[in-house]
Amino acid sequence: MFIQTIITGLSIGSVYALMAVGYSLVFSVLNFSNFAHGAIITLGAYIAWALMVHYLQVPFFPALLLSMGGAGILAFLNERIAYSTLRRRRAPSLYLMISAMGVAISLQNLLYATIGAKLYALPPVFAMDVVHIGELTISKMDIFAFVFSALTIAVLHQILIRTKVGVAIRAAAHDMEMVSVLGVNLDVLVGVLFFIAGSLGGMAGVFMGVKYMVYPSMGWITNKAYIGAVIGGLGSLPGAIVGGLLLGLLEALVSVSSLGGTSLSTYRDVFSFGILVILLIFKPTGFFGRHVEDKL
Amino acid sequence: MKRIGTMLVVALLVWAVLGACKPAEKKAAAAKEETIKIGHTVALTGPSATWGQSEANALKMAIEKINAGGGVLGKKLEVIAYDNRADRVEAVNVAKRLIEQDKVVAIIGPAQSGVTNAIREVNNSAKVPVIATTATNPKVTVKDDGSVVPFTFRVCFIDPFQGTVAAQFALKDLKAKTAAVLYDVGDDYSQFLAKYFVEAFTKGGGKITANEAFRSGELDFRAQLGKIKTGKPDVLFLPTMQKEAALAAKQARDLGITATFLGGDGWASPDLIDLAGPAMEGAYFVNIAALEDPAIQDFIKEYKERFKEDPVLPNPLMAYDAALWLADALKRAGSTDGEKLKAALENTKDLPVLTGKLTIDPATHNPLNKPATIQQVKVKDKKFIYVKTFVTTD
Amino acid sequence: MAYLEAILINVAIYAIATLGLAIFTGYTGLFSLGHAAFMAVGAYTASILTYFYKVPFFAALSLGVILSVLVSFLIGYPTLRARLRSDYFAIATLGFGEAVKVILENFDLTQGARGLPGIPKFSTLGNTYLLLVLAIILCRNFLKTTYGRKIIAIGQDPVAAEMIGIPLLPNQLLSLGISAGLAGLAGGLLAHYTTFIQPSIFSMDLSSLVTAGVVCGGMGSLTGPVTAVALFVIIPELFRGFALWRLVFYGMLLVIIINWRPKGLFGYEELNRKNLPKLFSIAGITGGLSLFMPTYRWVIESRGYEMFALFVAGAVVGAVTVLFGLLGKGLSLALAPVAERYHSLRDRLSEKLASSFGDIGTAPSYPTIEGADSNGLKENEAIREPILEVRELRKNFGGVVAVDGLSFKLSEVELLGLIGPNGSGKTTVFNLISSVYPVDGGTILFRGTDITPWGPTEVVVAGIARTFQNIRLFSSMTVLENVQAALHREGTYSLVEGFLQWPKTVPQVERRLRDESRRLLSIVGLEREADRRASTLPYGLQRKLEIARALALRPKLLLLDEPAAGMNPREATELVELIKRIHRDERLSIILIEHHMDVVMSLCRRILVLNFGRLIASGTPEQIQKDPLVLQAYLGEKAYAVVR
Repeated sequence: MFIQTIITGLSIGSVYALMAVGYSLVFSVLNFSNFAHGAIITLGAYIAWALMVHYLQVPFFPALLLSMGGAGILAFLNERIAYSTLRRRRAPSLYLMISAMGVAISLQNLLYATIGAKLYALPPVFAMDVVHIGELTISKMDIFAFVFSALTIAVLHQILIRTKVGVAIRAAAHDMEMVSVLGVNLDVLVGVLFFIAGSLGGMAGVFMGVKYMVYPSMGWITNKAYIGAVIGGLGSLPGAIVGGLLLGLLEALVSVSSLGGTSLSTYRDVFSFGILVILLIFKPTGFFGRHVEDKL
Repeated sequence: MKRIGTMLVVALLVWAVLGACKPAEKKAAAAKEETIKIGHTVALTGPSATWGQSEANALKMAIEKINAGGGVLGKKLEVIAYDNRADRVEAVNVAKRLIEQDKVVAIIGPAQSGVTNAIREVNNSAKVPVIATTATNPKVTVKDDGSVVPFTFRVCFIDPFQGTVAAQFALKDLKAKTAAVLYDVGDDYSQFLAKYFVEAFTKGGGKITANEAFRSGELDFRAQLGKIKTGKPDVLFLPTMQKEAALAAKQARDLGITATFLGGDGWASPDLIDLAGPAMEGAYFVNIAALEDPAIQDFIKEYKERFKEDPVLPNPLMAYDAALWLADALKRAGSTDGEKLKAALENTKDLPVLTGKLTIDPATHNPLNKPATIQQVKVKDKKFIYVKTFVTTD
Repeated sequence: MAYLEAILINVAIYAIATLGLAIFTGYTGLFSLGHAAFMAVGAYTASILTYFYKVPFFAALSLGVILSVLVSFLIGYPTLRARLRSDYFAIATLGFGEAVKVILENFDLTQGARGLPGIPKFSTLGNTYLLLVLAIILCRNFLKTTYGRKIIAIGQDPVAAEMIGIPLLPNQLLSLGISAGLAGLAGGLLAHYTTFIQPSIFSMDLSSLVTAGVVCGGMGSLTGPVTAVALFVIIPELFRGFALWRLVFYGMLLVIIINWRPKGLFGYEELNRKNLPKLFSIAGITGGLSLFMPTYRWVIESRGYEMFALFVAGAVVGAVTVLFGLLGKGLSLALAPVAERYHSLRDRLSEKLASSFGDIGTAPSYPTIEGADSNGLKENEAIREPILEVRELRKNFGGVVAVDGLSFKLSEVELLGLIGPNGSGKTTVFNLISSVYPVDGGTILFRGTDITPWGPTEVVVAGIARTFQNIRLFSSMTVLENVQAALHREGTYSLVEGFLQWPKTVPQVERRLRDESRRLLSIVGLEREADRRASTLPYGLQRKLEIARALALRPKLLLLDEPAAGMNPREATELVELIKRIHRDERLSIILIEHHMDVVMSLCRRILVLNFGRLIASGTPEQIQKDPLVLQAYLGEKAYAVVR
């Protein structure tokens, strides 16, 4: 059972990791926690639903790509509307975070108010196929999600290393002002950044929709992904992946443990949020994060 | 700039005057005759909306029939319905509104045990009877000390019965020797139905291999299911609403659990099949009534003609029965006074309703002799089929 | 009418919670996204007591408040001690909020997640409004005391606050405690109004609602947040069918306000005669909106013409708003003479009270140079003992050596100049002495005592004050309040007395502080600007205010960091006169960092020159001006070679 629990943990963890990468990407450059990411993820899932079930019958793979693109565009718009003014004004990161929260609350409830709270299932991809390894089972959907996410992140890594845009992003992560002085159009750069982060979010949303369901408060689970990003160190992409996987593992292990006879499964979130608080107090930079000192 | 402003104002004024002079549609002034107001607190949106909408439709049908027959106490009945989204806090607001603003004499609904419990203080302190439609938890009408909740009633069976039915079906018909349970710790219904099942299953000689819980709103049960898998149960009892049951079934199959799934009336919404897909093929659940039941075919035909779709059982039946019961009680009470109405409701014997004859136990406000049906999920045919009507051996 | 009562009670309850958060977030500047947790603690405590143990209502509420405060200290101590940056802190509070919720869900006594119904309905219109009024009075009183000023100072600029001796942790905890207590009170009242509570009520949505109220109402006001939250409760009720859109509306409002009007509705102001029209307009809009639906329906019923109905209803809203606005304007104008008379009457009354209660609070011991002070520093016998001695001071930032083995002595009542090219480490030396940064090596001795390991507030108490290169004033406070804030050690009444504005002690102490502040302002020549907001002062006067504030700390050593920066020659001359005056009159030891050579040369009899963190020259102005190393440092080697 232990190994099965580990597999379960990694499976949940890979969802967290994918979402956490979106958070860390934005944090690394703009140094704030983009709480609207959860809403983008949810919208990605709804776009897939609209394409695959409600309006058309688009097959999975194209729907996935379209959802990623759609989510990316939404994230781009989100930045333009809610963050760009503050960014140009060099407002403290707290303000950006509040703006992000405002967007998150609006978007989530917009879904409630328009489409409604009904749950929708995306058509099962790979049906019920599972792979059996002895006593263990791994679902094919999980394998696909894992592989596809890994590929996408690898592609992202290459973009960051090899392309001009990627280099600009990495430079901006170190020093935004310098980058703009060197002639890079910050608005475009940040726009591209959000598009990428949004696409990753959209992908995560689609995978979640297939794995579980599509409903307006899906975004809540990204609070967990955020914890993963903090564990790994906000601003670090490898950190986000490690942190997300680690959190998934920890949660799965806690869910099957007992303390003095009482099952801990319903206390799991106390552990997760407890880890968040302890980390923030003692090691806010997590495993791989950077330390940003306030200028005095 | 100022001139444009003045011109604008003048233009608006002209429009207003013209509008006032246009021939107006005379709205037929509805003769405001007096009606007896009945409240309906129901989930019109949210995950329980499939039942709620159906319930509201059926209640409409029932009230129209009653009014067509002359109404009650010389007046027509009027239903005032509000959406409670199956949310406890919202239901409290709705109850207050119905009682304080709309001045209803009785309330039909809610459909959920937890929600009915939540509004208990509100309707009892105001002495307004509440008839829950499908709230099956015993604590809804009987307090912990054994005394009855004076102004809360129900028209369905209770969970100890449902749990027993499920357990005995598993033991006798499915020949199960072991069972595992996965329930929602944040829901009165789920938590207690799980408890009753465990009691009855153990009493009947079965062994419970695992009794796991999750938090409301949880989506991923694989950690708990992994634990359940090691016990290799014959049956997995999922006393939850359809959403969680569907997810749990999918994930259980993903993990390679081969147990037969068994559930309660919380599964009975058609979207269970959409949400669960093939995972739920061949699963069983207990319900209050089934579409194939010969006694209710007339109702189903009428409903289908009117609303162009099948009723989502059991709620519409329960609401219909509740309406009949209430109308009858009002007649016998001779007034809309809370205390008198309560007494009349309590002393109902052999009242013919859609699901048979309604007799109420005054000590518990629960209906006596209610049957339960077992239904099976057929995913390929996209329907639930009727398996049997269960009679407890006790 | 029961419906109206429901709305009003909800307004009062949320207003109480928001009041608390206004103090914590608005004034102290700490963003909390988890305050619903304190409401939960208050609600559950009070409910358990009344439901299971039949404890009387107010006792149960009080215990709920006390428990909320205690929980807040438990949570606040580790979090505040960690001195997290503001968004991390906010997230930590979010984490706490969620954790508390899960714990309550597992709490069997109250049926966990399924909720506790049947709580007795003790909250009434009367008692909720009584408590609201009480809360408003207590909060307003609090903000007018020394304790309140300390918290406001921290909210404005925590670094500057520490630099004037206000320790962050205890004051932030105080602010947290007050806000948690009020939240707990609101929670208890809520539970006994809705008669049903479950943990999911105290969600992030609820925390966000209250926080949004503070942000939109104005961080730095009490009226603003209360008004904002009232609107948040009332307006959705007016458009009942759009309940689900309410949260969409909050979210958008939050985005709009934080982006384009971060000051919110009321900014830093409370309700006064001048912004009366604003309040009336807000009331007008609300009143108008409440008439929208009824008007619309009435027009439809009598005329049946939809567009027309919309138009008329809109016009009614507009008309009511304008009417109320005019009413407010008129009222505020009419009240002008009354206000005058009221203010003078109030001042005379407080004078009378002050004098009638005798001489409490005159003459605290103003520490003088010869007087003993609280930190057990050794008394200096001979007047030529160095007041400050720095030995082998070292500081690195990453790989950069900012201060490299610096040693010097400062004699008592000496005016020492510290100069050097940009980046030579001068400000870092100040930062090390005033303990903004910890030293990496070396010792600092002040009046014979090793203060190297001391913290910034301890250094202030010992008698060292400083000003900053980039001015750090408390910008939303008035000039007078800035100085008053620095006199916090002399506000000698207790917290309870402060809350009650106890007539026997508080007015006298406050008057004394005000008088002393005016005196300090007159030393620097700012007494006429006393009631201006500090941010409205011209640059040169802001510098002077900083100096006045530093003097309020009764320092023995004053560190002035580029006081003449950005001044024109006339201002610089005035500054020189000021420094000479305070050096002489207050008998201060002063170290002066400056780039204006004429200022340095005219003031200082001894000058130290730094370059690359090392002392390269020390002597009289004449000696320094001729020193080759100094010239080389300033002009660069090549240029020096040319000049020679």
